[in-house]
Amino acid sequence: MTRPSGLAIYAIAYLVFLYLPVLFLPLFSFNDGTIVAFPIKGWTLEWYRQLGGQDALIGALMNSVIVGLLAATLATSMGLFAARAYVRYRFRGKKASEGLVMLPLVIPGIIVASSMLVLFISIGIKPSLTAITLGHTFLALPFAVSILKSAFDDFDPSLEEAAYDLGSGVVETFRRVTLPIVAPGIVASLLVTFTVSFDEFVLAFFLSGSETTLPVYIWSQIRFPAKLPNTLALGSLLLLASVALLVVAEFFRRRSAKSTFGGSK
Amino acid sequence: MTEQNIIQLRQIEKRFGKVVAVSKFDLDLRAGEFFSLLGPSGCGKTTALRMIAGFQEPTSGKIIIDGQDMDGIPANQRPTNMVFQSYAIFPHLNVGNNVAYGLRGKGISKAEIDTRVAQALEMVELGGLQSRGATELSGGQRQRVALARSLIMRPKVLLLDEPLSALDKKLREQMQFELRHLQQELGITFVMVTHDQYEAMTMSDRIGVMFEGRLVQVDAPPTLYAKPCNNEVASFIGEMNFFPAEVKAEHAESLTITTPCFGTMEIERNPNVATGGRAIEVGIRPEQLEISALEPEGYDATTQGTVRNVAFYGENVHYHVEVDGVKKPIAASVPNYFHTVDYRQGDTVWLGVQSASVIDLGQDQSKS
Amino acid sequence: MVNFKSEASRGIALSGPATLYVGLLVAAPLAILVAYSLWTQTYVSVDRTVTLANYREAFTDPLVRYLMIRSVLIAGAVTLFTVALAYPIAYFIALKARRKTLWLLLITIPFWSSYLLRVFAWKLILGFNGVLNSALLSIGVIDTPLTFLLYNEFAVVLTLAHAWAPFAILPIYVSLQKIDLSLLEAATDLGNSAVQRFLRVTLPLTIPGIIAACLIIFIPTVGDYVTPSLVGGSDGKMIANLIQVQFGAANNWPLGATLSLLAMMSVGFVAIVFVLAASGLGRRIR
Repeated sequence: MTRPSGLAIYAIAYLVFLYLPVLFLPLFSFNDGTIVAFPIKGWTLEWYRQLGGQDALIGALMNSVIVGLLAATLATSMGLFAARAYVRYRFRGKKASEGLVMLPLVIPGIIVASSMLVLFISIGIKPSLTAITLGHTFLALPFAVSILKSAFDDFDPSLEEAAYDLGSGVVETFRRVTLPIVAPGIVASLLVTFTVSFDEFVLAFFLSGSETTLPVYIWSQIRFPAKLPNTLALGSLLLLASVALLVVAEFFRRRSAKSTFGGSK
Repeated sequence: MTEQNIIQLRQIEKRFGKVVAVSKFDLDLRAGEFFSLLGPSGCGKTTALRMIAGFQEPTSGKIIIDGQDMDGIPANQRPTNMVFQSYAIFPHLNVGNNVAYGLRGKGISKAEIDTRVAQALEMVELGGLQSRGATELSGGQRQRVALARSLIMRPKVLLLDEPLSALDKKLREQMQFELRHLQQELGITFVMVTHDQYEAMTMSDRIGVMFEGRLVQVDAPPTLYAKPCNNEVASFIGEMNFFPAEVKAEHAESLTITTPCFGTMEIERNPNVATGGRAIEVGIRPEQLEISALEPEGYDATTQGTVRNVAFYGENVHYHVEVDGVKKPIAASVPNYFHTVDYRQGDTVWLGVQSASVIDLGQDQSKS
Repeated sequence: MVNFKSEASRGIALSGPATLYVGLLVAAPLAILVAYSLWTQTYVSVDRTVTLANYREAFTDPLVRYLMIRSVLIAGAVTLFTVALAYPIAYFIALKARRKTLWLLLITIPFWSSYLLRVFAWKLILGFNGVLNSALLSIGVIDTPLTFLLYNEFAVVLTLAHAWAPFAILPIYVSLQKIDLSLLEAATDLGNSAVQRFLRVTLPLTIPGIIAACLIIFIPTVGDYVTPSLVGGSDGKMIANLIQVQFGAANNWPLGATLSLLAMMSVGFVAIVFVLAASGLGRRIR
């Protein structure tokens, strides 16, 4: 512990590489000039102020929130059941089912997007927020399942048996024991799946009808240099929101791990 | 006796697919006794306990608790409560709420619940710890909370699944004593599952020994030790030297036998073993053997051998003595009265035994 | 909890919705894509006569072949680059760092910010009048802006490597974390130097993690759309851009479907070859 090792120095350099590019967005969002270049001309909050007046942006934001909430709820409820099945029960086809549910993580985005588009058109669902929600549920499911699986992993099955042994029925056991213990995992899953949906672009780009989500709106703004400062301000707010959601999710995930004795250690 | 049998198991069987976890057995448990199911891991003892609790349904057979057939009665309506191996303390509830869990929602007044929780905690010596968080408890405290949480339900039978296995040695010994004391004070039937023979012997009124799903022998600890029903039980409980023996004559209460090293002697018949056959097996506990440099006097049989190994245990010393005609060295245990180890490896010594100490173990299974 | 039969049926019932949902959304579109790929586009409608015309077009068009190969090569470069850079970090966190969870959190936070915005940030940094050029100019390192930064393969590889970094670190971290430390002590005890120990014990044991990291990066990056669109310029276009054009401006869904299927197949082919080669190599190292 006398001097930092070469590895530690490398690790810190790596962190800088990870964070620095992203930090330029908020930095230049306060720049009192319309091109993103050094030196910085001065500091202003003007670009943030202008965001409030843009109806298209507010509409896209609302759409994103609605899609995110729906997708998070759908993915987390399906994930809750599936995770419980994977951790608790042995059944034929379990490995196959677990693998299948993780598949959305590794299919290239363009293929998911194009195949969903042809599917939805074929079964009569027009490109719309509904289509985006269904697609985002698909993409978010693996995240929900893996978070909830770890919540059930830490859950001693004899807790439910103990409740049952002390006179509780199935419903009461779920309400008084299972739910409170898994709750932090559920909250973490909701937050993470919401974030996945909220930030998703390619699928929403393909499946957008007349209504669109925030990332698709940003995409449309990126092309106009005049709108650049506004886009930076908007992007910075979005980054802040994502990170805040993640930190809260992490807090809940930790709590779910800590609530069982000994936890991971 | 029948009306006093709190639990009756009739031809209980549990199969998992083709695997037989518990093969048809009958067992009667008396009201107010401390009963242990003892056996190596995987012998089906936990499955048997969980069938009594209602967590597993028997494939066939009947479970009767307090005169009532338990078929179709789920775990939450049985007059039994369980202390789990992991204790299963609800991590989101404090000590008081853990203990009160089973009383809530039953129409019992809050004051009544509070009183009973306080009493239950006093009983397990955790008085006043109601508001302590469940995750802040030590292993021993968690076990006490689990006990209080079950006992507050006033069960007819308390089921304990390896209740001491998660504790360290010192605490385990203390809890053995306390559990036994609590059981005697409350007069509730305790059924404990354990793989630890010392734990079973020190705590129980009676022990049921299980091997591979079969209930092999049910007896009080001294009987189990002195009259095991076969080689398996004899070697699982305590230590035992085994010898092949030939039956020369059979009498009503005894057998005349010859052994390769101790010659001919007359030993008591063991009522617990299957009789028949001339080739039998006998056993001698290490502490029943006298060891000395000169031939010991006043013993029914003696033999001479060479010390091959000395193991010092503190409270006693084990000598492993090689004797002509016996395959394994014979273990003899001597209490450590004078803080001395009297014999060394290679010493020639005499072993002496009384015929009353030679245990008839029935037909020699190695020869059939 | 009860007997085997009901345990199995509960498991199937509970996992059913998720399995069906993903299963249907994978299988059904695949079937429809196959159908589309066998049809042809006439001006405004789709001609449903079954034909292999799209496949013929895809295989003969040099642009398709060029973009397909370039996509695989770029994804391969990204994978190599990212995994090589990530291994030391994973090693550091798993075996050296004292505050593991903090490090893991720090590594994963950027991943949760919008992918679109991260790519956009690189566009701003690497641009002709961008952050990097203006910074270098203002401190006098260069006189004229560097032009080789943006709109080429280099920009695409750099941006993708940055975007996918956490995905490479986590699987390697997990496999390192699983190593029983006494194995490393045993290797030292048996006379290995630190380097020998790493090559003979640590590295072979983490091969599954490395394979997972490679796949998890390679597969999605082959079909990436955002990065080549924003920082690739005309030199950095990939197959996804062509597919998007078929579903968008060119309005030729049958050809788009064909290209999607071919992209999927080439990804699958490369991935399988890679896994076989890597696990074979893993066995050889020992």
